[in-house]
Amino acid sequence: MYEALMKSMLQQYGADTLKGIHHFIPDKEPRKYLYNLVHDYPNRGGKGFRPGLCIASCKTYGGTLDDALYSAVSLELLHNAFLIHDDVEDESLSRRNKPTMHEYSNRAIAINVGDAMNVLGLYPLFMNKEKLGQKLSQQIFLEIQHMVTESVEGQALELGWRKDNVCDLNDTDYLRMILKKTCWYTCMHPLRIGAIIGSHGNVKPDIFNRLGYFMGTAFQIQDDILNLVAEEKKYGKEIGGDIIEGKRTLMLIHLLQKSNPTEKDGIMEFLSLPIRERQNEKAAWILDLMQQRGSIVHAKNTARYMAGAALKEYYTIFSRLPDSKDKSFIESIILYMINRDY
Amino acid sequence: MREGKANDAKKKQPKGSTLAGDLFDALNPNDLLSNAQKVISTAVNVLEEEIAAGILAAKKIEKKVIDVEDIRDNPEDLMNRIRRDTHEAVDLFMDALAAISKQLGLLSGTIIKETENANKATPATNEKNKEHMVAVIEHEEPLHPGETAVLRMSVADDTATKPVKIQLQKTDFFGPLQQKILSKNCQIKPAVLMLKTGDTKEIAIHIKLPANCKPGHYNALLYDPLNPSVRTVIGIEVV
Repeated sequence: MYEALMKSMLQQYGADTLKGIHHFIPDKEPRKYLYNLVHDYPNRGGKGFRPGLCIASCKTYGGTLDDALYSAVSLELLHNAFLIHDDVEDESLSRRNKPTMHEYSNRAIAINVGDAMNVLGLYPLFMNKEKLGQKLSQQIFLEIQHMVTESVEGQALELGWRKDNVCDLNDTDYLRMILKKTCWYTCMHPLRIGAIIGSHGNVKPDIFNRLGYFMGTAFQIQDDILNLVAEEKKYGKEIGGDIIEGKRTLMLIHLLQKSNPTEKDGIMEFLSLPIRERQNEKAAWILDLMQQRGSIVHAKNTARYMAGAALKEYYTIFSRLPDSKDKSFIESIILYMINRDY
Repeated sequence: MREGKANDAKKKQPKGSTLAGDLFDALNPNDLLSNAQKVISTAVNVLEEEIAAGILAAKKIEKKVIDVEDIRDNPEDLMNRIRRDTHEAVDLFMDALAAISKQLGLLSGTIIKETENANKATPATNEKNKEHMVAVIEHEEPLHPGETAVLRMSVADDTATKPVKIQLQKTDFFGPLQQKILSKNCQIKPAVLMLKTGDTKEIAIHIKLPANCKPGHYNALLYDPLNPSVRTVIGIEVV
């Protein structure tokens, strides 16, 4: 499938989901401090991987867009709630080329909007009962419950590492954290939920675990690489922001392993400072060290290995299914995850 | 050291090599495969560990939330659960029995069948009891809604002394919980044929599953109303 067609499908599924999101946001007061803000992050137009994967997986297994829509809406609402809270926790300045919510409003308001979106994400799951029946709705509810649990556990791991300035991490620690923080909710559960709906509960969702994990890891590593080397306007976030935030990326973990004792002390000292006191010059020095020590190349290679393993899993699972646009879409998205530049 | 190897590989490359090939060689294929294997294997181990930990944690919560001893000690609740489970088991049994009865009531004839490539039939003929046997032809792979499949079988007559005309008819496919796939979704080619003594003729059964077909095992009967010895069951599984 051509990348342009895949992107247009991604955009279309994103637009369908956004329309659904708007239906689930109450049109009432308090607008200024809550409901108008709930629309903000979804309206900024994300990549739409999660609803895209969920809908495509559902259609590949014989379902329709309508069957998967409420679940896609719930995934996207919860994702945006995570982003708002994530931006507060990371003290990020920009998101999708605009100031983060806590920057243009304040932290308290942003946290409350995130809470509201978490709650609003529950109602589409309840409404699934009307479309899919009680049994499937309950199964999807448990999928979402597991997804959110894993995500907060993964986030806790990373926040804890930053709080205690943990620097003796390795690739296995990173792979575990990313599985929990990103992969379950970005790829594994969207694929699982879509297939459960499309097959009327006849597909064992565990068959998607490895595919989703490999895809999700490739996606997250690429995202972290772009944070260091992308064009800021395209990427939509401040370049090098992850270094300032002390985010335990694969590159930082690799650098801490490969740097000499003096360099390591310098990096650890930088990471021990409060975020607002970290200097851009020192961050640029760390980025330079990452280039010198091959940390970015290491991350790029790891992302490629993961994408390759994801493709192998994809062919194992999907080759038995009839060819369709949605089946090809899932294949293209695996490659796109490591080739994208935003 | 690695840079040296990469440069060597680059020098040896023939003209006209592809960009992907250059990249692959420059990465040093042996190192690349071994590194990839290590990373993927680590990732798989992490995944398995985390899934196992998740299952354990869920079981612990279940143990705390659901007091198994209490449920066992409550005879009324226990009886309700037994009644409910028994009902479900009986329902399932009755569904299966009804489907089988529907097919068997109509059965007649003997058809020898064979399969081609993936569409293998399962022969169930028995020479001794040929007249009472019901042939079964099944699609080997499960099918998906909207999919098409072709099953093939051979028909032979080693008893008749004169040519026999066979006119095949088929029933709907009956599945679980009164689900049906209408007979119009199944085409028999040829449906009418003349069979001389010792002749063997091939019949193709084309099945096109409806897009909204529900999962489960479905069976239909292929028979000749004027020739009671011709009978076979066509079985498919929809997933």
